[in-house]
Amino acid sequence: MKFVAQRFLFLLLSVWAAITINFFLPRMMPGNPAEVMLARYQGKLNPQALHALALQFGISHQPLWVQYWSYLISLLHGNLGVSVSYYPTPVTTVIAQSLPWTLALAGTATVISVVAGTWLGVISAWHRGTIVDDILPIATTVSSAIPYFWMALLLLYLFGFLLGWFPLGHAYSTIMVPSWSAGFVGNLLAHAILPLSTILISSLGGWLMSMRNNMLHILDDDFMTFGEARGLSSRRLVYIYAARNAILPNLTGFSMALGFVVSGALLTEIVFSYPGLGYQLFTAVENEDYPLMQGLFLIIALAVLLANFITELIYARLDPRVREE
Amino acid sequence: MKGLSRIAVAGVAAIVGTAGLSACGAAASQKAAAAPLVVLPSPIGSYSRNFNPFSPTDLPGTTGLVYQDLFYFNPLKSQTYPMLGTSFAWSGHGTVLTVHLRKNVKWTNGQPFNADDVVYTFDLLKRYPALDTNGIWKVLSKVKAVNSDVVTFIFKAPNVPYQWYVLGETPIIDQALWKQVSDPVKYGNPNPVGTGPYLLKSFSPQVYSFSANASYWGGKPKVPTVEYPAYTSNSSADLALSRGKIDWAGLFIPNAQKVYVKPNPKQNHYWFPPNYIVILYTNLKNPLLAQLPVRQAISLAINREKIDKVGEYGYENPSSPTGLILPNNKAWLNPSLPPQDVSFSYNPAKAVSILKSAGYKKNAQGIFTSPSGQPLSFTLNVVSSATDWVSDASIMQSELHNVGIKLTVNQEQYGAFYGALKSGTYQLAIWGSSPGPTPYYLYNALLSPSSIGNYEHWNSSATNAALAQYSASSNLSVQKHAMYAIEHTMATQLPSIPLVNGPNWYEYNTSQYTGWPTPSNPYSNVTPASAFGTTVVLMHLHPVAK
Repeated sequence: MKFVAQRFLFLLLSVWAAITINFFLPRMMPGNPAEVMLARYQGKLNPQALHALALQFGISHQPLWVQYWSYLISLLHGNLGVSVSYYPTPVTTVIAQSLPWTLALAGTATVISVVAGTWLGVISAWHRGTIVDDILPIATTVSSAIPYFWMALLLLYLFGFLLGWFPLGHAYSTIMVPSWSAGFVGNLLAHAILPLSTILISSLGGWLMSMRNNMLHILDDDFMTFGEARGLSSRRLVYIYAARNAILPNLTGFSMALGFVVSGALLTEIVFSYPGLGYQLFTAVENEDYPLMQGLFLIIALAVLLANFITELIYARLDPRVREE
Repeated sequence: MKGLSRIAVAGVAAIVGTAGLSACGAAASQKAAAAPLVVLPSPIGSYSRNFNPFSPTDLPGTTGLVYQDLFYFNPLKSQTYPMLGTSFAWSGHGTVLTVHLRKNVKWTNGQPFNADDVVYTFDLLKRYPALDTNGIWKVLSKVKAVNSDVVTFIFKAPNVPYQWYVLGETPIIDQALWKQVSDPVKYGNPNPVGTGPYLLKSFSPQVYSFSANASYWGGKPKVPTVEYPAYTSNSSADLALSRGKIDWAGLFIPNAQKVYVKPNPKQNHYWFPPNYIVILYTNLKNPLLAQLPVRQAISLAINREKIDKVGEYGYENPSSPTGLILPNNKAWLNPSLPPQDVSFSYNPAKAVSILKSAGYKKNAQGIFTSPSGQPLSFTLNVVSSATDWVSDASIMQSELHNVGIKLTVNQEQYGAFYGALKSGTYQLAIWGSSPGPTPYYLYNALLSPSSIGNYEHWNSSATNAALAQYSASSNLSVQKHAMYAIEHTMATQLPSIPLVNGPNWYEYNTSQYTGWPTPSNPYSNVTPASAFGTTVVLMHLHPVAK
């Protein structure tokens, strides 16, 4: 219990640090949202608009600590401010619209990648020395060495543009109305296949290699030899005895990866115009939309910290040595 | 392993569930009607439902298609269309503007439109200065309804040019509906009710559409549906455009003739008419740039043809030294101006001789130094994401180097760039200007000491007098003479240095609809991004007979 309390305290401290950095960083940048907006809309807005824009965005000339305090208060109320580029939409709405897409895309990709990679790692280690073990690690090492945005461009060019098998971007066809009909779900899947494959291909290798290496250690252990001598089936030996012990590091990796899912597969989303958080972050940076950037960073930081916290708890449960230290 | 996969499956189910929920809530609409007109003003990755006509980020179509102004002023030629107003007149030496309103106009919810709506609209701007982006209430003192179809605007001081902001740039809203809105500044107005030719038909973050208003006062439009799909980038939009998926766009296309027109020359057309002037702002607080010979030398040493051809794909013709946007403003050009004041000439040799005769000498590095020993070495600020202006800047850098003036190009983000421009902590900067239906608006923004857009800090009593003269008179010939004086000042005094004409992007496809504005018939602003002009174009379009 003391361990959990300790970890929780650390979580609170990190969250506070993240929020504080998140508050001060944008305020150190030159210009304010009203000026950025005026500059971006030059030609559409005349410079007279500056005063009205400053009022709209609530640009404050109060001392920084007063602003910091009201920022903390509004955070507690779940108010992340108003996005500049989607004005007057609140940041929370923008995030709520994009989050499902990212969770669906990057989340699904991560889960598939972990499960498939880990399983292939087991196979590869069990069949070490055979042709399977020669091909799998090398193939996946090559595929994960390719930068994933480049992979995305390649897939887009080959299967989207040249062959025309898959759509060029977006989460679904703009002519379709979202519904639960088979046609629409099929359309969603067709749009998701290329971005999903991109993430999958580039992340599979890591999981495979780490599982394979762990397995190789375990397979050399005495209890494995003993189990084999006792006549346990090889299936039982691999999955119940070896894999169960070897999976610990991958499990940690998985829960960490889940934290990073929220940050979105930034470049993949940009290449495929996929309307997730990564894409929103990109447009927010492009438009100098600090409230939106702050909101996104906050969500990402919270997700990573929480995932970290949960990992530590799980790890302590699975591996008593951690608890005792 | 077993436990893990169970967690994973549950996770996926939860994820798919949330995605589905938001997708269901996004929109519900009927099937698309035949041959919608597909419009793309500029790439926006995904839409948020904002049909508040006072918001700077309202969705295209909000003003124009749904909400209307009193009159439409065509910036491409001197022409005014009556919209919700039918006529206007000035009295009281340019302080009282009387507007007669159109009768028998109905809001799309069936309620009648009248003078109270107009008064309410302007009062709303007064109560919420955050909505008053044109600063109307800085000059207006009172708005009142004389009867149900006549409204008068009373100004604090003579201000004839403000008629454009009042009549042409203010969307009129329905007072009955807006009275119920608690905070109109943050209001997204999800279901807009206007007087315009279109009604909102469907909305989703990836596409929204309007359908024709059968009871529109100007007659039912011939385009039944107007659709706005979302595109995340210029390149994906260009691709869709060249495949004929977009009928009307306001996009930058590199090599438009080759990329867009050549694959389908009968139906794909473009025209990029000038819209504003790109200016090399010279900060007159800088003691060197305050010297006229220095500004003259810089202007003469710039090859504007090269900037157009190399930096701007040949889309941006050299500006006029007068600062007029030609040919749009040709009715305002002083016919007796000498030719060198009407168009720029590229003459690096003359730049050198001007500097020499003003007492400037080259130093060991080949850079001119002033009589007091300061080298002509300047920093040129440019927005890093305006890539065409960045290449213009490097062209100018090498050209000015040839005559002995050193430029250091400083690329900046919008915020940093504009902050320096506004506060006057820059030396040279490339930036646009604020045009209007007559040259007055650009001149006033650029040269009036009270204007934020006077980034170079020009202050001349002759210019101020000419601007005031225009402001106080609705007599065209008085206005013209005031403008002639400023044209002369611009050409000979170079308050800042005009470079090239900034265009409006306009591509159109004639496979479904015809009647588009062309160079020979510029009946309206051409870009679908122009708020009120889009209605005028839509009402001119008709389906192609098949």
